Amino acid sequence: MTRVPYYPPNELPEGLVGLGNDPFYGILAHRPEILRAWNSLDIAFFGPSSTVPNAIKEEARRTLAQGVGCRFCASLGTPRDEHPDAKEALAVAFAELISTDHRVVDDSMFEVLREEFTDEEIVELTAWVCFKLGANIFGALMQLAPATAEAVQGYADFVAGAPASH
Amino acid sequence: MTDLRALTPDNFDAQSRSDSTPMIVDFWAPWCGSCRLLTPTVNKLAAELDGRARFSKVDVGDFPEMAERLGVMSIPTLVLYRSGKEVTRVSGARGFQALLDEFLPYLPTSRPVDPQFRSYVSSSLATERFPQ
Repeated sequence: MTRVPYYPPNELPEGLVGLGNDPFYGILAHRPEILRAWNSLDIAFFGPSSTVPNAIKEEARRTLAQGVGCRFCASLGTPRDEHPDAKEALAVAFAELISTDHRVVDDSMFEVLREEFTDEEIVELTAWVCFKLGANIFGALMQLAPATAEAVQGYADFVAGAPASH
Repeated sequence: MTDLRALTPDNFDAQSRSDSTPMIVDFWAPWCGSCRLLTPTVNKLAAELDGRARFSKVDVGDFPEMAERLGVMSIPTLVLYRSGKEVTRVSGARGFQALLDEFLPYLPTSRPVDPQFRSYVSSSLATERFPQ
């Protein structure tokens, strides 16, 4: 059971009703304007102006989600054991470091990132990891339950670019 | 990683026992993102501990049996050996200060005197005290 009850989706302002059925957004729905902005940021990261491939961002998210304690976030996908793509391997390692202890990330590590990423991509990747780390902490604090199969599929569709609520 | 001596199954045992100076081995692989992020930190550590520890590396992709024999189950892992025996190890990417704090207690407090310098000083003192 969540620490704060879900907000009734049908009481949400028009345009947000669909979002209220998502377990994560269903809690944020207590503050509709925050829900709206949060959803916009989610969409912006995966939108057409995105510079880092969505698959890389999602793999980084899956990695950090394993250790934060948000059961809902972790259940949306398990990271792969191996990352043969150098760019993805670095992004995953970077996300893992940030989620473990961001204070160990130093200048030299950013230099290594620059071997694979542009500054624009580094900013997007870092912002994404920080955003999702915050989201995971929020989900852990609210004690969200693991996602249903339907929610997992909905999120997968969203990552793949299909219209979805999350 | 070009600064560190690459070890193989053929030279690992000899290298780890060859010198009284402790040896820190970086077990890594080129495809490992965490290893890449840690590389500059390891190089900085090697420079900081120059003379107090020797640094080497083992590519576990090239020598998986060697890594298994030495109990290295994940990378990056840094293992400190003294006289061929493992003293301590650190797995996962860490910051420079954390690694320094981990290894320093096991390292000699000062750099060993270069044998040639020791010989020079000895002979100079001998000459000074007992001129021939």
